[in-house]
Amino acid sequence: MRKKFVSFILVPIIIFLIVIYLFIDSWITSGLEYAGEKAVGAKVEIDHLHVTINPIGIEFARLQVANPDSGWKNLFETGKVRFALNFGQLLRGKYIIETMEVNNLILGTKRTTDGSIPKPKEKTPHPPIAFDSTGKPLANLPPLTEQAMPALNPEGSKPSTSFDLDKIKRELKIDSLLNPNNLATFQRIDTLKKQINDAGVQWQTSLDEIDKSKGKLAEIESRVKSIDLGNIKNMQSANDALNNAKSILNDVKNEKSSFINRKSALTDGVNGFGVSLKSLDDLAAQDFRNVVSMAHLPDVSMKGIAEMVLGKDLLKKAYTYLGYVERARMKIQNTSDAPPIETPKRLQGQNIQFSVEHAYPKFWIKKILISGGTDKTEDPQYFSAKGQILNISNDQRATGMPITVNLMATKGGTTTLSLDASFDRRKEIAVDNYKAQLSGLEVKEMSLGQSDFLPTKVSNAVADASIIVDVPGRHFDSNAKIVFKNMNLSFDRDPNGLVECIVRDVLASVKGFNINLRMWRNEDKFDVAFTTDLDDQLTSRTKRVIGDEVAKIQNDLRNKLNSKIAEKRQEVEGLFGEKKDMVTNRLKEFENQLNDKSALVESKKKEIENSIGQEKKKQTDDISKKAKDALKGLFK
Amino acid sequence: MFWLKLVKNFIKILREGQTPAQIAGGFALGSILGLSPMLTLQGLLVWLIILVLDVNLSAATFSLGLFALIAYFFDPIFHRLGYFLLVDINGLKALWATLSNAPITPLTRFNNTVVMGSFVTAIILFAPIYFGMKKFVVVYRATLGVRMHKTKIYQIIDRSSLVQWYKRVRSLGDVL
Repeated sequence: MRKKFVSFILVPIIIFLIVIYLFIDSWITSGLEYAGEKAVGAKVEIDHLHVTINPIGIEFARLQVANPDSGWKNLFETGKVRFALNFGQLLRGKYIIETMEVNNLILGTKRTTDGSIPKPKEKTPHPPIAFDSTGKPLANLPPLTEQAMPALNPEGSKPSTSFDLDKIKRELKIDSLLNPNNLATFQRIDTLKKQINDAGVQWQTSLDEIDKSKGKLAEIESRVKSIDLGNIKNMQSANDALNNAKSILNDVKNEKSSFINRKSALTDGVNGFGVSLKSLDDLAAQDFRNVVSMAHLPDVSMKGIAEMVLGKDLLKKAYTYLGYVERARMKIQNTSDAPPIETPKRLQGQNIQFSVEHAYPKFWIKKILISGGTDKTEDPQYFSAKGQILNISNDQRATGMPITVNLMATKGGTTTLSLDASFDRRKEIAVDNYKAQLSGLEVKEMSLGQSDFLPTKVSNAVADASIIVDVPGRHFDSNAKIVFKNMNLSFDRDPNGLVECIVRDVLASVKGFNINLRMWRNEDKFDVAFTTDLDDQLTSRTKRVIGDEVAKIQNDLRNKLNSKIAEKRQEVEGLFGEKKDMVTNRLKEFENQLNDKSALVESKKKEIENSIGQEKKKQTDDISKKAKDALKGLFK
Repeated sequence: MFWLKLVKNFIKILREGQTPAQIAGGFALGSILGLSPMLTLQGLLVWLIILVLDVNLSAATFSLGLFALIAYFFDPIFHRLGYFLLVDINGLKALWATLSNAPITPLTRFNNTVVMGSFVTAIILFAPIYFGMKKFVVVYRATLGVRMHKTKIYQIIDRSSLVQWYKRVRSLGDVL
């Protein structure tokens, strides 16, 4: 045992404790900020953090979390935050917080410094979005936002449709549109012609084979004629003739059977081409649709104009919120006691968490109580939120509780937002649910239209919204109902063309409208459905004015296309008719001959059977006469 | 410079002063510290053992540095060994889960792959290092030491101003 042990140990320990006491606040601040920034992807700042000893806990004066999508705004900021750690569990290396108090939570405040941080390079270009509860991907799907991009980007994904009818007429190149190379019907007809010619050669061969059987028919005829009824003198010769006739009849039947098979094969082939020719009608209709699409003619029903006009900002916002949903989905995961092996930095290693049901997880905030502050402290510019968040943990299987969020936010006393959300990772399939209600939201300015179609701004409108989002496993379904009221429109420029005039007229007369926006993903397809009560108004007004013009252009296109296709079609139909007639006539001819020979044999057989009948009768008569004579002699 | 002093000091203690067992004990305990990452409960415990037992501190410090260097290069192997013990052996999972929920034991960071892998390696190597070092000290004192003193490298180190300065400081009052 070392003699000066006490002084040797005590001095460093005391120095160590003093250093810890002096620096622990800043160390913990840095640690929390670092962890927060890693989770959020933007700056997290904590002011005046202080570690308390009894109870062991932390309190700080302010927390700011920057918005990763907009560095000059905060996602939220808080006033004083205070929480205590469970000391018993701290000895077990677990961070268990019974209740965390968060005061003065305000959403979306402005920042004085840029809160964005450089984004780390993605390890995989397409991180999957469908996870089980431990974060293992369920399927190799691209992220939700990536899948949604084409559906939510009206300007980027949809071909711009021109509504200027004069321009359409001027630029309409009918000859180019009706170029045979662009028409599937033409290509199909050429293919059919080749197939019919090829089949014609085969049919010819089959008919030649059938013709060879004509020799057999002649032989049958001569065999029938060789049976002379005059030579039948007795029963024996009669039976021989009958057997001969039956044998000939069998041969006829065999010929008939062989002919029926061949005829059936030929007829099927011919009929098949008949069906193919009929399907040309469908192909021609498809060609017409393609031609109309290539001509960029506006849809006469005008379905989609409202989406084009109203969807721009809304879909952009939807895309942003989709990003939040996706982020929550990816960040909230259970720990796994068998995670895949990683390649950590040297000397850092990989932490493996061992979950035990009904035991404390590594990290658990049981309750966060949020107060939005008093009316006096509330800034009318921002949303002040109050409510509670329950059971934030790193392993919901251990706590048996999903994360639940229940927040109510108000802004300026007129706008209210309520948000209920749950993030359930207790079972294998992760399930997220959101329900949000927004009312009285002032829309100071919102863009409508597109850069090339009626760019418009809505000002001083009031909006109410109700949004429900369900994300079970790999599926996604969201429904948003939005109502705009009291809106004023200002148009960025004079209307261009008829349709813009119409849409502008309609919009100028409305003070509000409803929108239903549904976004969903089943299996691997993402879709968006956008409906609004403006659609009907726009459609009826637009149809009245441009419907006839567009229909006239379409009819013109249709007539020219039909006449071109009819001309081409005659070629194949003529060829087919010729081949069909050849097959039908030759089959008919042979069939007639076959039937004749068959009738001849049948008739000969009947005659023989009659002769046999007569011979039998004659013999019976002779016997009965002899018997009668014998009886007469007996009784005389 | 620190390393130079450490090597000089280590050679000195091999030659004279404490018993081979004290030197080997310090060296073996230092190897545990060197192989394992810092700031673990078991690390503090080993430090405590070093300080409580009358083992050679210089040997422990030298060993710590030497094995920390070795650990740096063998880190991927420790990681894999730790992962194997923590994840792949199903029979041990119940033990790990129990330790996770027991007081104090989580502070050992046993659930970290490198901590687990390096600690197990250090424990396995402890006895061979101890006995190997003990034998080495005995042999060194008997034969190798004399030869070592005659080498040019030793002469250079011994005459360096830093070592001379260190000797003067030491002579003022060795706390040990």
